[in-house]
Amino acid sequence: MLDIRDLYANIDETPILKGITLEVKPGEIHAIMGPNGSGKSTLAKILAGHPRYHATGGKVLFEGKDLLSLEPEERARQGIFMSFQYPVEIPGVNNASFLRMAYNAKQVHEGKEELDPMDFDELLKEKMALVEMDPSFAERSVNEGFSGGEKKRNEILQMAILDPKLSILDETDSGLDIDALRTVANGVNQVMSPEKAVILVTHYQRLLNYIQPDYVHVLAGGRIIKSGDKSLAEALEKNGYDWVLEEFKAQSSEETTALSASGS
Amino acid sequence: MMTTPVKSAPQALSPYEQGLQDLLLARQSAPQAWPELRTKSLERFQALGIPTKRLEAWKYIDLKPVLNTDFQPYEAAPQPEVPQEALEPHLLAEGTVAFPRLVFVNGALVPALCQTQGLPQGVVAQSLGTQAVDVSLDGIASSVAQEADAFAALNGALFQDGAFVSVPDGVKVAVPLQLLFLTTGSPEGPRAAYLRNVLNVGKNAALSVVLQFVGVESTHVYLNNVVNHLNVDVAGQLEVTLLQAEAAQGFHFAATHAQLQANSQVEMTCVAVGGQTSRHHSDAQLLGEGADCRLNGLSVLAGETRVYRHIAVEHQVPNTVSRQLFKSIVDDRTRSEFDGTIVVYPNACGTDAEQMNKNLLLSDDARVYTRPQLRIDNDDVKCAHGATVGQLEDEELFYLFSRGLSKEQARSILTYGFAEEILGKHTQPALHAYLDTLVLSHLNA
Repeated sequence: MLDIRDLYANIDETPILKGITLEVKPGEIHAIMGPNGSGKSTLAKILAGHPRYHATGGKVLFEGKDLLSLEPEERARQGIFMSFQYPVEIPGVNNASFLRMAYNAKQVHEGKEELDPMDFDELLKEKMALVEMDPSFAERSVNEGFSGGEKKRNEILQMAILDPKLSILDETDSGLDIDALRTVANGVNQVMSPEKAVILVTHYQRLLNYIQPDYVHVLAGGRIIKSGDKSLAEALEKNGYDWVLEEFKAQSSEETTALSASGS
Repeated sequence: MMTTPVKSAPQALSPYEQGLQDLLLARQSAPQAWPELRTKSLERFQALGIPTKRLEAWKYIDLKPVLNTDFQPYEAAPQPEVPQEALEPHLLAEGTVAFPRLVFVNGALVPALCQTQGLPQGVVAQSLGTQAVDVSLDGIASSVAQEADAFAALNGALFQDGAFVSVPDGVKVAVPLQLLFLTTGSPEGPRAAYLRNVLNVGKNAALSVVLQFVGVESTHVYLNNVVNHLNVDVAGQLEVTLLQAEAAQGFHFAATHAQLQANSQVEMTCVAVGGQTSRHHSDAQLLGEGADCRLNGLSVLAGETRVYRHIAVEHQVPNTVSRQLFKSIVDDRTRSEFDGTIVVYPNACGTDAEQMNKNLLLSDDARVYTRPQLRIDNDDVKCAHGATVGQLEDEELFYLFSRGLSKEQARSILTYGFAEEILGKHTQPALHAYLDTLVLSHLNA
């Protein structure tokens, strides 16, 4: 589904990603972990098409097509969804109308009927129940005055409504209490199916107690320095990131030694 | 012996002043209602003179297009018939029940278009024209000496019509009253109308009024000079929506004076979407403890439209509250000015006042002038003010793009959201829908 090959990327002029290679197949859940500043969020944002982030090398294919040449709205309509770490407040714009516009943009793209407010209301009610959100949030302005947890819930609600092929959750677990965390996880598990995939960007192992990843990748210095199954996440939780970094350093110097040995 | 009404300057009078001179002389030769108000107003106008750019409050507005035009009064009734399709969109109703209304065309009441059924017993809603000889305007006459706006002073000398609305003590009017001022202008040349509206709300009474200034014919040059008096007695409530949707060649000069007695509430929303140049002065005097005044404004400007707003809220007694939130969306080559002042008198402890001006710039050629000001003579107060000028936020746009919305959809939804913070304050569904439609039609233009 998603094929990232040797991706280099900058935020404004600063290089952040330095050669990421990652393949995500349908039915898979990948967790991207790593210390602060490792490039986790940059990876999420470059996949979603944030205007401040630019690829400087490598390529990204989504369902075999070049993703990086697409506008962010095109990516969304083709089935990529990113849950924001800091969802934007939009005063004056009714949450339900906003969700309906987003839903209909995708419907139109897929050549399907747009839903009128009445029909959409039913879908919305169903999905709000799924993410345990109070119906009153439908009539409020998008994220305005929402608590941190409510904003994250609203992100998961959008995910549930848009039903994306690939969901990228950028630190959706940060700042959540245990109940909200469970709801978020529940939402993700509901959306997940054998045709879909999820990338969880997270600093903590906590969320992975509720969502079982198939793969765990450690990102540091803009590269994936270690990959494994969910036991890797547990090891990180117990022992922190230092040992992975040490291991990677040792490995790199061995490689360098090996290279120079073979070169001589 | 007849005096020269317009003070002669060393240089020749402008075409506008010459026209005024002729009009004032003609009026002086005939008996008029409220002679005291007329005389005092003319004196005040003469003392103030036509404003110049040297005055801070008139620094940015360009009066030349007005001064260079010889505006004539409208011909006597009947006024031209307004086509139904031009009238219809501005008539408000709750379900099938039309709001009571007074309709004026080119500055004069048109009885055939009015209906005042549904107003409670004792509520007066009538014209200040020929039918209003028994209305006393003594209170207004006695305050003319404080009038700071020369055009408002001039209005006192010249007004021929307007609405007089009075709600007796204890009466709460459930349905909003529409005061609709349609202007067609004249194919014969530039025309000016001088209108004065007086709204009196009694003790424990409540009223909601919508004043709509709507231009019907887009090609004629005209001027509407308007003065509104809002007088709210103890514990009275007044909700005012003041809409300026003049035609492209219309000038609009308005002054609104509000007086709030103890525990009274005024909420006024000023929406401007049209006209060539308009100036809106509003002041509110909080005269009794517990008075609460909320002023909201929205200007949605495109093309060459220029809107200049001047606000003064005076906290004259202890423990009063005021809020000002004025927003503007400026596109193309438009100009928007916000000049707002909170004045706190020395004895007005416990004042709680806020003032905010937010501007959304959609074009490099548009200009915004903003001056939020405080004049505070008491330490025991809570006052805040601020202003922002900016463009649509990249982060907000990206959020919407990332949900599949097109560039156009995202821009229009954010712009609409910016406006909706003001329009959303209207809880009356028909009025909210009307303003929404009107503003949206200007956003998409």
